[in-house]
Amino acid sequence: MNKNGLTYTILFSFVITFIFVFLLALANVSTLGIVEENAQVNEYRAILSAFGIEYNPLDNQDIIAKYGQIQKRESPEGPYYEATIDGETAYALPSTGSGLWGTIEVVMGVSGDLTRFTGLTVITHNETPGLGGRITESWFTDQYVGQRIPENGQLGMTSGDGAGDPNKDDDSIDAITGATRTSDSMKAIVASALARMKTIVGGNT
Amino acid sequence: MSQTKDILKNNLWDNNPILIQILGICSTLAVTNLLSNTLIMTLGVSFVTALSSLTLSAIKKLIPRKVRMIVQTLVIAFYVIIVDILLKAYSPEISKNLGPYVGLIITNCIIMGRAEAFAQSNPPGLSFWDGLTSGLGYMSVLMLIAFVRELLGFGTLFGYRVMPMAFTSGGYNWTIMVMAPSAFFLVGILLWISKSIMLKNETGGKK
Repeated sequence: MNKNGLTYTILFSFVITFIFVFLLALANVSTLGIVEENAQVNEYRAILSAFGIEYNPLDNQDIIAKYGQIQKRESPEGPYYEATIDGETAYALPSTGSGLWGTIEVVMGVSGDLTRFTGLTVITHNETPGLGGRITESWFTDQYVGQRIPENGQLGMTSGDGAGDPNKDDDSIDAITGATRTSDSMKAIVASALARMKTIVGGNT
Repeated sequence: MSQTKDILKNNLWDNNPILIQILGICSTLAVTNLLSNTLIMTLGVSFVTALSSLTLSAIKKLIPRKVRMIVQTLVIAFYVIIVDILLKAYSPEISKNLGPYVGLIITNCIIMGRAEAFAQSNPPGLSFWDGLTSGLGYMSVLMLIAFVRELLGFGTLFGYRVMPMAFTSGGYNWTIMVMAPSAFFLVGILLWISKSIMLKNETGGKK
């Protein structure tokens, strides 16, 4: 058959595309289970961190087992999570808001009586790496763990030394130096999440 | 044996994909602010370049000239998606960090450049070696840039802190190292240095 003829060209293109796409489909199907588990575990991990529950980040089974104690609930304000930690009820609420470059998605955890945060996890963001992007770093998110929730529901941000605010009983945490707009966004997202959480808890009791 | 050595030297230095051929510059700017991301990305590129060169060289006699480039793209895309699937399944954290850049390996000119310039007219084994060493030439330059950017931008190397916290917490001083423009400057400086060394070697030290 003429290698540069029309029939050969069409036949060759068809066969070679079929072979490669078939192999890809095989690879995709064989890893589908793991990929789905990873996505699931990723979500569980964020919620566990928001509740302040410790887990082994490398052990998927550990994460899935610990997630068992959390219940997902529906409310007019959107889905939220409830867990009982050491006999105390706590809630976690997924929330989104706009950051400097794009949407910031967080899960905020609070104690049942809404007096303290139990934690905060940033799920997705598009902030500047090294500046606003530092909202995912532990020194920043750890500030929320055990932090008192101010009466007016507005947790302030003050400039700090970049190591985090160790005082859990005041009304503010350290902002990120050089990322004022992102810090302001986080302030607004947390405030609106707190307001929603109040409505949800208020509606239940 | 000397041919494999020549190819190695050629791809790493005399004809370095970035310093001499100025290929693959997009990724040089985009993924060089953290060493670990750069390492995975460049390993991916080396893997794809080597295997697509090997595959294309092995089937080169079967490919009709008219659809040559389409087949090259198909094979490259195939390997890139394999890399993407593997990262998603076994290294979700890195897959998340690299985001769309893995898919963009497809558009890396180095891969198609090697397929077109070398694999077309050389046996599979040699093509594999050529692809691999091109990837290494690309990796060496990117890792050098990432080293400087991560050290000065974040004060860390592979995530381990080597500079004191106060060095970066100011936020303002080295922000540019984290952003893409710093890669422009660094590539420029590297080009300058390597070109001067090459010129010196050619002229035997005389101006």
